[in-house]
Amino acid sequence: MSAEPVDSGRRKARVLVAKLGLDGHDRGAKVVAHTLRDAGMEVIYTGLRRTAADVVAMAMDEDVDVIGLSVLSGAHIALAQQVLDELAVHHLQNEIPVVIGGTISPKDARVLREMGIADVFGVRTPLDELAPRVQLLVRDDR
Amino acid sequence: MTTPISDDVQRWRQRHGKKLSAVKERPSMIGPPLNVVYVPDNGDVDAEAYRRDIGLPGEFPYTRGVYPAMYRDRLWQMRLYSGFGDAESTNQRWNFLLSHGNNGVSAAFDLPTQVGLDSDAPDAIPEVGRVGVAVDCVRDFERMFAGLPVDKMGISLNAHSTAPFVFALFLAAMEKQGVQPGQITGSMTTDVLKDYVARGTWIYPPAHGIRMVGDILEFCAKEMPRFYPLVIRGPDMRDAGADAIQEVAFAFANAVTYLEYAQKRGLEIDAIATRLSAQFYYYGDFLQEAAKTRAARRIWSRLLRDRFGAKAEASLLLRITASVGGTHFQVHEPETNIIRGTLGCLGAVLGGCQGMLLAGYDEAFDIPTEDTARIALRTQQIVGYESDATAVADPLGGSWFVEQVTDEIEALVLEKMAEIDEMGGSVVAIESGYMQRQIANSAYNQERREQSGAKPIVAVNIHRGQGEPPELVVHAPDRTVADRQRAQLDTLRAERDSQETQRQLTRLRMAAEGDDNLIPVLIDCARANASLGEMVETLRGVFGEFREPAL
Repeated sequence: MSAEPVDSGRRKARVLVAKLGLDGHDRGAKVVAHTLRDAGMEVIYTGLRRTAADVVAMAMDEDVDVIGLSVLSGAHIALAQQVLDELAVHHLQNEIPVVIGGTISPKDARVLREMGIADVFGVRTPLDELAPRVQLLVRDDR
Repeated sequence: MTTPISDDVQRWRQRHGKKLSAVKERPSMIGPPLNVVYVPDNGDVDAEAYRRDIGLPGEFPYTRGVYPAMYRDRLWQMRLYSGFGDAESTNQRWNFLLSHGNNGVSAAFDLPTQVGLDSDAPDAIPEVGRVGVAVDCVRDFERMFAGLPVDKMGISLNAHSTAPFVFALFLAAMEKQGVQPGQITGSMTTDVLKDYVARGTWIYPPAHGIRMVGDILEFCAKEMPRFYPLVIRGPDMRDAGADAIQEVAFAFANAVTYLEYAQKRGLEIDAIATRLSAQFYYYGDFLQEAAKTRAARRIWSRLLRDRFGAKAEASLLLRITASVGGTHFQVHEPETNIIRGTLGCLGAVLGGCQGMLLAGYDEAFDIPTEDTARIALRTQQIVGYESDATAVADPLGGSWFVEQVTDEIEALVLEKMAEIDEMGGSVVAIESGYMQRQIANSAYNQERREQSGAKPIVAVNIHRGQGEPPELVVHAPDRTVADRQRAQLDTLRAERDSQETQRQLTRLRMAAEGDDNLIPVLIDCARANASLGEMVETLRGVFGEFREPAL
């Protein structure tokens, strides 16, 4: 079973799947990358141990529509803020939406949304929801 | 004419008489005492095939276990993986665990230590003391082991890529306490190749990682006869999504790389293989996990004998440590993980493991609290002391199901190992991303099976119930550790003889440029109060850094 391709009339979304900090748990990031690719999106995976500056630079180079962060070290709020700040440095905070996945409590999910994170994917989010929720964030005018 | 199996048993009893006669009688539920091992009646099975593939415990091919009396002689080493905050909080937790029956200590280091950063490095700060203990220099090891019976207990060091550095700091601290390397028992997760495959805690390119594994093997063969310097690891790959076949095959393929390298360096196979051990994961399918353990021992004994020409019995038998409780511990209704841990524990015990780490049931949230660590230890003790899983060696031996699964796992693992051999060995399989891709695909398929309900998980994809269960009290991290570690580093750098530190770090660089064994030089650096980060950085200048293959 694999996810249905999303809305084939629109151009393919480009998504950067990113790992920040020292946390080496990339099982989730790779499952997400696989799922989005199956749904017809173009996915670039950063590899491990990236900084916020690395991630934003890659997002600009690759001209992605969405940045997806995977954080399992517990430092999701601090790391998400670093990426949002780095985007603001390049005046991209309203251009490239950022989503995040990991072991995130409902309380932290609210905090993240208030900070400006566009969507939060907790543990066991159904895989078939991923691509449609990411696609909603893609701006057609870019 | 083939001789009956009863003849083997007689010979086995005579050969191991001393060990076997020392075991305590174990009464059965119905009265008469239990044997140490049970074998097929004559005529039940093909005696030649039994002898070749199954045999008796403590004998080749070790399918039925590595010791003749197995748990009737002694239980496995119960050594919880533990460490957090700084040296003091870890020392305190170790004392707590030892007083509850933990056999020795198994040190968990924080991520900065695992990737070779000092606690004052900017990238390190959010992670200092979080998933393990923060260590930077010899003083941390002195404080961490203060007051513990270090020459009388097993010590496992789980530093992975930075094993050589942590090892040097540890030995320098032991020296200050008057403990010589030869007195130390325990083990070390020196297997660096699995870090490229799964843990993501790599530093240098694989060739340099392998060289340092060789340095440790050579050093320990000479200086530390009671220590297990290289644990071949599968659990990290299993946790990243590998199936049981990939777990064993990739771990053994990595072992082949180390052994071939050590032989090339001129080390005798029986000088190193006698002190190798392995570690695997144990999930809920505990009967098949037990079969995996039996298959792994059989594969190892033949691999060492036939491919490497090992002769010593201790080289042919594979001691296995079990990891229980990782990704199959659930976030939802976490106390149910106690039962999942018990199932994994049973698989490891029925398979005949020699050591076990069992995670706290709060594993999905944070490192264990005192309470959850205590229950992880009690789980093992109850299986060990209160159940008959430990009453006879290899209780599953002879089950049609388990014997067939053992054979099938063996065949599939051998097939995958041959595939990697054809590719050019495990380093090629890692640098090309082959192992990583295989594991990522398995992880994806597993997630699909779990989400579709094809793989039932109670309270997660079946019988979810209504409402939210009560919230769990999880470990509260100490946010001030990074500040204290930084202050200590500042003091260390101000107080130490900087010229001497520099001189030793320069020696380290020169040794790395040549072929000298780096361990004695690293110990000298540790004695001269070099920090872990300084040593790692010095070698980065010579060895460079690993680049992840794109997937």
